[in-house]
Amino acid sequence: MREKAPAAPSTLPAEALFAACDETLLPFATTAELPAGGDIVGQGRATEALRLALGMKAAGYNLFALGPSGVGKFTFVRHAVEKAARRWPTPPDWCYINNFAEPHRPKALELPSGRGRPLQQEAERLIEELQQAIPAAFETDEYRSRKSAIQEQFKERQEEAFSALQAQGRENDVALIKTPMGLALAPTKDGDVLSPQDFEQLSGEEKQRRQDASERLQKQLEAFLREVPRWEREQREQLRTLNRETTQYAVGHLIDEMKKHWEDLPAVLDHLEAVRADVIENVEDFLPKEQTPQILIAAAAGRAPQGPIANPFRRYQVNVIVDQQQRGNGDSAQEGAPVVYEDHPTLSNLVGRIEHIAQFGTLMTDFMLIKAGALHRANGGCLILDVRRVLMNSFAYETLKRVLRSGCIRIESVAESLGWSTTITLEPEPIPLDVKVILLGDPLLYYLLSAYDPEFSELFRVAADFDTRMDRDAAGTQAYAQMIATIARTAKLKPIDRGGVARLIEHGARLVGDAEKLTTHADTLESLLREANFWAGEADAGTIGRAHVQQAIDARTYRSDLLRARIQEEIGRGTLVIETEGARVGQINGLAVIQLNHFAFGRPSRISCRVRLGKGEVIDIEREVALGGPLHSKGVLILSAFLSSRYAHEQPLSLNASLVFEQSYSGVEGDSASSAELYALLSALAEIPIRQSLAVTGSVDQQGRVQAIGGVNEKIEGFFDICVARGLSGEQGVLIPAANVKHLMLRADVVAACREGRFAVYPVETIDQGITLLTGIPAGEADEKGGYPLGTVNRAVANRLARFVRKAVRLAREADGGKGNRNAKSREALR
Amino acid sequence: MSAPPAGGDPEVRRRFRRVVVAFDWGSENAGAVELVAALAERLRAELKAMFVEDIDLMRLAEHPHVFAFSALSATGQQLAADHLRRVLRSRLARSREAIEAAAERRQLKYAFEVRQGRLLAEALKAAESEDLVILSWTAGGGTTSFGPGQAPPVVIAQALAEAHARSVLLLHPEAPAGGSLVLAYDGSAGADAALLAALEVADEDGGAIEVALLSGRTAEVERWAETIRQTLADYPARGGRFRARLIAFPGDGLEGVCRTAARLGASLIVLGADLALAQHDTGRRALERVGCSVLLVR
Repeated sequence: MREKAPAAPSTLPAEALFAACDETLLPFATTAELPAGGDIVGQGRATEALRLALGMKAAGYNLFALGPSGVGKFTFVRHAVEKAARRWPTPPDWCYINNFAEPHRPKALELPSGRGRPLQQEAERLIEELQQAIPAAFETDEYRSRKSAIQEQFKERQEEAFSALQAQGRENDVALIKTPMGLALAPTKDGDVLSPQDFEQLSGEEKQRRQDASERLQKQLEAFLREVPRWEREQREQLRTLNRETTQYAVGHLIDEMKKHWEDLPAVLDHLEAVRADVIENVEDFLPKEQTPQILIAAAAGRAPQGPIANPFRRYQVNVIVDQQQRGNGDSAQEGAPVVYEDHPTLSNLVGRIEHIAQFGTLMTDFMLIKAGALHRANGGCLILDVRRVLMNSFAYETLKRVLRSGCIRIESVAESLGWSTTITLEPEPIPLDVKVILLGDPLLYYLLSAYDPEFSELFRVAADFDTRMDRDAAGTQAYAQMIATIARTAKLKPIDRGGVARLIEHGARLVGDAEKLTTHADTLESLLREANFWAGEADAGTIGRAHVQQAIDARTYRSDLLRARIQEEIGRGTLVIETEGARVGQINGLAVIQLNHFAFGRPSRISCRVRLGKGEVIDIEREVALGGPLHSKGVLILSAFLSSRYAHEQPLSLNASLVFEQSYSGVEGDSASSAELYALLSALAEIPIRQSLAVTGSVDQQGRVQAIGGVNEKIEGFFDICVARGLSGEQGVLIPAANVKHLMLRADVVAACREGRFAVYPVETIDQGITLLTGIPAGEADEKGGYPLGTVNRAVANRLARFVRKAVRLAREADGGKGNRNAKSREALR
Repeated sequence: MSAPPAGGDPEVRRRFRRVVVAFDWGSENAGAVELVAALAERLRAELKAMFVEDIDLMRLAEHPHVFAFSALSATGQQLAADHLRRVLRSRLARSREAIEAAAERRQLKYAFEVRQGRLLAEALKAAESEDLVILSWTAGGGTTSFGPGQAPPVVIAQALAEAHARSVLLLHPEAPAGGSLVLAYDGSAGADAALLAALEVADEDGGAIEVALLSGRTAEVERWAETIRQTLADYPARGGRFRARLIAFPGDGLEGVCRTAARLGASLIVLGADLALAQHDTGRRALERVGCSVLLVR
């Protein structure tokens, strides 16, 4: 194969090292001039996905907004959803009311928006009025007279019967006496009870008369006592009828009056009728009673004691669990449908809960203690949840799916869900659900759920994929400025002047590591803006300017770069050996990037290579000691392929090379050092020294083309800082893949040094370009036979490899000659 | 009207020096004991408790076999010999213990006595003019049966007329606790005595008295009202602390007073014994059916 060796690349001009923001694209003095609001930019896909999800009414069209944390998913989604929800119809209010037939199954009552609270208030008023009207009715003379008449009738009946017995006894000298054991009959004389002795002194006839009378009275007394319960029952029934009539009279007009306000709602009318029937049936609850004996009797009978729950009037109250007119907990504005964000999505916070009150050591509950969950509040609108928090809360995810599947909210505790609860509790009537659920989370969770939960994809059919960057064209720049203005206004920060905005845009490009893109990580931008605002305040400036933004960037870097400073310090002190002048065979400065949270910096690393006769292996020492990651190993293996294809396509590759990152004590990953490793290998084979004033980054393919890598800015700056510390010589620089030039957003001091010719950045397309630059010797172009000209790097490499081959062949022949020790030696040499 | 007790030494002003409470087996209960002890403490009076063994019951208990009818099962049964006597003895012991415990708890000066006879007669016989005699509404569970037309207050009022005692408090078992006090006032000397007795037993802290003026004549009502206000103002040590509300009952009599007491949830009606005796059937029946305690004053 004939290759053309390109000339060594020239240095990049300073303009290519940093894409300054074109301030003519920012037609304002400060962001205060920009209009309020404005959509979040750079999220076209997410916008479309959201529009589809919000527009689709079919089941399962819930949304998963995926993107890294801080990209502004929540703000974007909430803003967009609230905007849409304002146009949706306001959903109904929901109440729980007592189920008089089955009190443990409270009824759900749906009311038009805004009518829940009035119903509750009217119910309260009704109770108050009943508490006054009913006792008043029972205090009337008419009621008392009628009641008294019934009681009198009963008493008179009893007394008459008893008196008749007494009179009959008296006629026969027998007294009816009350004793602790009941009623007893005793013989008398002249009204006094006779003692046994006096009785014995009576004549036989007198005794017999009294005994006969006693026997008759016994029978009559038994008959009388048997009648008494029936009379009592009759009396109770008469009193009950009287009470019902009285209550009906007192209650009727109050409930009829209330019903007039709710004629359009049959469910409410039914409830009021149930209230009427229950009040009539339990009218004694409204009548004054003595508290202490009641409690004692209730406790003795094992019934519920007195207390808030035992308040008999609670059952007529209305528990408004969703009031669209008074949305709370940070829920959306009251017009349109609700948008609810639940930041603590526990099971009970999602589907509601049934609270209990401790009374006399017993946990009591009723329908008034049913509390709404986020799903109730969001019903008819949208519910936004953080998927990580949902997954972190036991049963929340499963319950959310169950609710979405069933289309109704059933309040259940954990114990009930697991079937552990054996005590009687409430079973509130489920409430129909129509809600759009939006989950926010990072992509990993989305793809894991998609892969491992079959139901997930059915319930969350729409994914809004949030991009972390956007185009930095004219439109993008202006939209970005608008976004910065919105962030500042929302966060109540000082206005930002044009220069400040421009610097923020430049930094936005630097954050994403691309001169042609901008980060959409709104959280980072906002925190930077807040810090710039602080510095502007410190300087008593009315606006945030370029200098304040730069100060914030510098301060942030300073706060984060302790490790970088330590490494730089150790390099400066010679503890970590990085040479920045002279030339060495088989040694080159590679560049790595260390990422600490949100701060990344470049760290130069010395890569060395040694070669000897062998069986065509390039040994990656990092891999051998398990410090090299798979991508790094892949890069090293490519080197073997490159050597074979270029220099040994018709002969064996008889070398053994070892590559190592010197003074590296942690893992190495990525293939961005593969070009540097190849340069070191070529240098070692050709025995031509490499300039140590240069550092190299870039991956390489099997054809020797240099490919783009990440973190190019940090890598250049990392080497630059070492050189600055030692003094810029004008010889120093960094070789980067030409494909990375568009990513350059270097620090101002680096750009200035390059502009002044004290530092250089070289865009490299091929290994031949790079090796020429690094050695100062042409790489050499292969002729038609594949040979390289004398005085080139490639010729030297090819010659060295050919020598290895010849040596290997000779040794192999000697080994095949079968001469004892010499053979053994030869075989050993070949290993 | 009788003049209020002379001022000066509070001991001299006390109307009730001794509280005499009489029980029999049917009227003893812990609630009544506590109430009586509390009243004696408030009145700073000596407590004399008397358990009256009903003579008829005692004679009945001597019979070898007593046939008793249970109201619960409506059947009769032959009681074993001596069974009734043992039950009566245990009731006596229980009464004694309850009285002693209540008196000692309140550090009252007290005495306990057992008598045989009939409850009302024995209680009045043991009482002096400055004693407050207390009986339970259900007193006389033995042969003392109050038939129709014989309301206990009226029976007691009759007995009072012939006794040394001047005041009998009849405790109603269903009287509401802490209710107000209603005084039936007809301008008589008995009514004035009832007014003073009412002031004496009224709760110092509660201090609410409803005075029912039983007259239809405006001038008479106004005159009585002035008398009552003056008595309240002059009442030593407690002057002005009572809240008295005067209510006119033109032509409605004691029946209306009883109705009002029920409506107010009153715990006590105070009236002169003569007023009780003067009632015809309707008034007597109202007194018989009233749901609170009654203090009769002579």
